Amino acid sequence: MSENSYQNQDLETPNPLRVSIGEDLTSSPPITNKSTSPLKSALQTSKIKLLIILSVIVAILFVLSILITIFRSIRPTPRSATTTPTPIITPLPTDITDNERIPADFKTKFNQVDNDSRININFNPPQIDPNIGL
Amino acid sequence: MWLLFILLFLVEPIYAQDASPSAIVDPSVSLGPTTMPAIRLFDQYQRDYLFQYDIYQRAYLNYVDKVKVYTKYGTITTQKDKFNAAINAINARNKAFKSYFLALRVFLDDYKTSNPTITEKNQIDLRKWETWFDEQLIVVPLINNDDDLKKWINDFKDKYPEVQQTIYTALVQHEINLRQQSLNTLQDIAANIKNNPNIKPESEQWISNLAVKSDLVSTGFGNAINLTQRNQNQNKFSNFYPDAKIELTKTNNYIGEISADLKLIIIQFLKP
Repeated sequence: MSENSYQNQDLETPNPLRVSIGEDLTSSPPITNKSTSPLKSALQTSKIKLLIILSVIVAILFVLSILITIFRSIRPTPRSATTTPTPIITPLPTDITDNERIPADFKTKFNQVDNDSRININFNPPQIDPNIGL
Repeated sequence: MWLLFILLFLVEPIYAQDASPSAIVDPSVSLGPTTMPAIRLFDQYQRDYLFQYDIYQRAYLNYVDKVKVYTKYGTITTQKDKFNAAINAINARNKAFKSYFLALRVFLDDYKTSNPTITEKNQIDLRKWETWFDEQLIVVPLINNDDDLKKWINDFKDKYPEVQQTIYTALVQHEINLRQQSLNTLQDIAANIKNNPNIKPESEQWISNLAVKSDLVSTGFGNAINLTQRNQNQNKFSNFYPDAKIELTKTNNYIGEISADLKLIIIQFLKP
């Protein structure tokens, strides 16, 4: 059996088995994905522009922040107001510590009492191990 | 001849004894080395005790080493070394205790006049233990077997709480005596001021208030003494000394307040 001509892909005529009723074989060629409309291209162009503008804004802000940081580090910080201490009136020494006003015969006794009060008795017993030999 | 003339009249004669004031020896000044101040007897005994205690510590470390060696090897020789080291350490400990009791007994003489009767009783108790430790210096070196040694050690452990109680009671009494002396001095001053014709009448109330603080001091002394008489467990000593020190510190503070009040009264109310 001879090869049917409609199975040969090189022929220009389409496969009659696939041709539907009412369809014109000489109609315009089918629509492909590669074709773009003018509206779409305009939209894409505006998106790119927006993206560029935003990027520029971010870059500007970034550069500004770096510059401000450098500027602050160079510029000396303003001095805070110096606080002046509240003047404290020194109290007058109390008469109790003024031993010069105590008569001499009492002064000796008071000195003895004061010296005795400062004595710190520290004569503890020996620390031993009572279990030596066990 | 001219030479003789010069020697007779122009050269100053040298006397056998120089009467110039600079050469007169002041009998109160010693010509030799600087005289040492009188050394307190207690200081000497304390130094002796510290020396004996140092010997005990070294003997104890030697004993600990011998115990380790015996534990490791368990031979008869190491056992004998351990035994000898124990005898040596116990002997050194007894000497340290004896010197401590002697020093403490002398220590109590410092302020004994404040409470002579009670202090004398403390000193008798201290002497009793001093004598006991002195006897042990003869007994312990004669111990020659483990059984006798264990018996002696257990006997010492039974006595040791009482030893500690005697020591700390004496220390508390010594501190009370010191503060009692100060209180007596202040009470004398208060009595002098009260009877002084130059004291202003406004001081009377101030002087009366001093009696309250004096009572607080006496109460503190009583509390400290009561602590020394706390019942002791037969086997373990309950140390009352830290609590007694707290009471005595309070009395010291009251004495300081009385002293300050008296000074103020003298300055304010005693006419010059």
